[in-house]
Amino acid sequence: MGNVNGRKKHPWQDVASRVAAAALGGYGLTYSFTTFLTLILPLPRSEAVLAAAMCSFILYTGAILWAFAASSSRQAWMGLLVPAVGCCVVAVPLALAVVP
Amino acid sequence: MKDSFTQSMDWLHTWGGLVFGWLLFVIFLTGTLTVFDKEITYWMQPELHRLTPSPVNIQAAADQLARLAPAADDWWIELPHFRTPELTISWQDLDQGQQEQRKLDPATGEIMTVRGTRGGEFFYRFHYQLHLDRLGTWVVGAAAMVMLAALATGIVIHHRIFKDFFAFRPQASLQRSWLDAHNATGVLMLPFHVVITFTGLVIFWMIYMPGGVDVFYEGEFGNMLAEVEQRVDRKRTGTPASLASLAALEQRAKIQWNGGVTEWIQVRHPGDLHATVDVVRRADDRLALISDRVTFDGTTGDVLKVWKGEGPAFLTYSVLIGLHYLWFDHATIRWLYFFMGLTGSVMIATGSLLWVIKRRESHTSNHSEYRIVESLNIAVVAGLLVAVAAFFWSNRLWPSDVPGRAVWEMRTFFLVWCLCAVHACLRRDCSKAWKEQLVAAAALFALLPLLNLVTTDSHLFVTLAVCDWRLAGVDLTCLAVGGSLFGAAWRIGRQAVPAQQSISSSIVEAGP
Repeated sequence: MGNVNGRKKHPWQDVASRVAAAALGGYGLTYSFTTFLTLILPLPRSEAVLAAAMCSFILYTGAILWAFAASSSRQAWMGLLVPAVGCCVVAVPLALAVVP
Repeated sequence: MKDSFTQSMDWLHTWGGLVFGWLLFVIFLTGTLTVFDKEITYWMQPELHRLTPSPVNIQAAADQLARLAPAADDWWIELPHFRTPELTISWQDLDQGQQEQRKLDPATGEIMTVRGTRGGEFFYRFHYQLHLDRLGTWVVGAAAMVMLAALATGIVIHHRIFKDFFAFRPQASLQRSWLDAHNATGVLMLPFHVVITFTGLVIFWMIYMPGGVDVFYEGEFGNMLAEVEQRVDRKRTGTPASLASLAALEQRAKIQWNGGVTEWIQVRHPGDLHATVDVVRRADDRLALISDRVTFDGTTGDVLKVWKGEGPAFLTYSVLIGLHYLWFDHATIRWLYFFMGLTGSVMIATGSLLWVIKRRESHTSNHSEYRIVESLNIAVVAGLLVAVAAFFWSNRLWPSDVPGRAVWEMRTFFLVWCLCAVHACLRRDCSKAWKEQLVAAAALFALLPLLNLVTTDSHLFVTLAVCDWRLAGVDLTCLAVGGSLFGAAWRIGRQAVPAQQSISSSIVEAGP
């Protein structure tokens, strides 16, 4: 966001993009990370599912803050999508291996 | 960079707080009422007030079920306890039709005629569903996530936390004193606000974050539930057999638990050879919300399964949801939750008020810019209070024999709320609108004990005399709330004048 006289300028496109990043991108990252975490936790499956799900909301909160703290809306999206895709890429083969 | 981060968090806090503040106020206030949902339900059913504590006659309940629902596939018997003195039986038929319910005198098993009402459960369901079923649950979940973000950003921008908390300046400028109120209520109960919001989300993790379920349980939470709860599921055989004594089974279950009280008994396929009886323990003496269960063969009385919750993640989850649901039976803690919930509601409301006041004091332009926000503030904060009071009034005023009475009570709530919203939009003078609605709410709450006196035998003169604090508590709280709201209305009347002065004086300064 640009700085003018110390107060931030917030063009509506920037705001809309960050809101979408927080809501959708944040959810996507949280969902994929939760799934990834469920797969790698060395616990019985119902325990792993619960443990990962409980942690997820903390991650989502962080993602929302990131979307607005990032220095540009592009960076906001990248910071959420790249790890999300990373989690998916790792989780898919894991899922195929672990789930009968 | 640090300044920029704080500025971004300030922006997010302000706008996230504004857009979701109205929703969050509603969720917090109805949640606060839900702390005493059972007391409210009891207060709203005066026909039950004659019940006195007595040993439970489970056999009589079973006889009623056998008489009323011999062919039903599922029977439930909910045992009475301190907060809910009646015994409730319900059943569901083979074709999965409507579930039917009757309230019984726990000592005699006689059916009691009670006026139809949703009671405190109306606020409970509204609190997490907003009367919109699954969609409502999603909306509440989204609001809860914004609340977590608002709490986190609030901490970031008010990092002078302790200094802020000890500075409450009610005589300072309007904006300053509302800001102080917002900070104080936020900081004072910060652990509560964080925990209650986080645990609220955790309760519905299976709706909001089902990734693990999708991977391991084919997306069906029912599969996971079956695995965790280990319910014994036996099919109906069609061979009739007599049901064992439920009272005896209940006694044997209690032995398994080494102390503890039964909450409910479920009988599946009663009268069949494969009848299965679940006796479930009340989870009110521990923080973890786990209902231990003993499952019996309904014909022979053999123990089929003894289930207690286990596993570190499951126990953690149970404690987290226990912290939110507060089934833990402790009067002082319950009142603390009520007080903290009110503080949270005040924090949210002052946040929305602050948004308007900050802009009103800083420039003279566009009344319409913040007029919408101000109207919404009045409609949501004051309007909801009026509607809640109206809900209680409707419980005493709607005749007992009106069909669909419970629905009419809810309709009264929504109608009154709508009227308040219309009033908030049409009234030109906002501070008068605030005052009028707050006075209306105050009057309705303060006069409720009087209405009680006129319409029932469970009014304060009776309940205080016999020290029935559950009932007296509702009346007394209404009196206290009414008094506080009168005080708030009076205060707003006083504070309107300085604000107008500052607007007119800045117009003079701006000058020709």
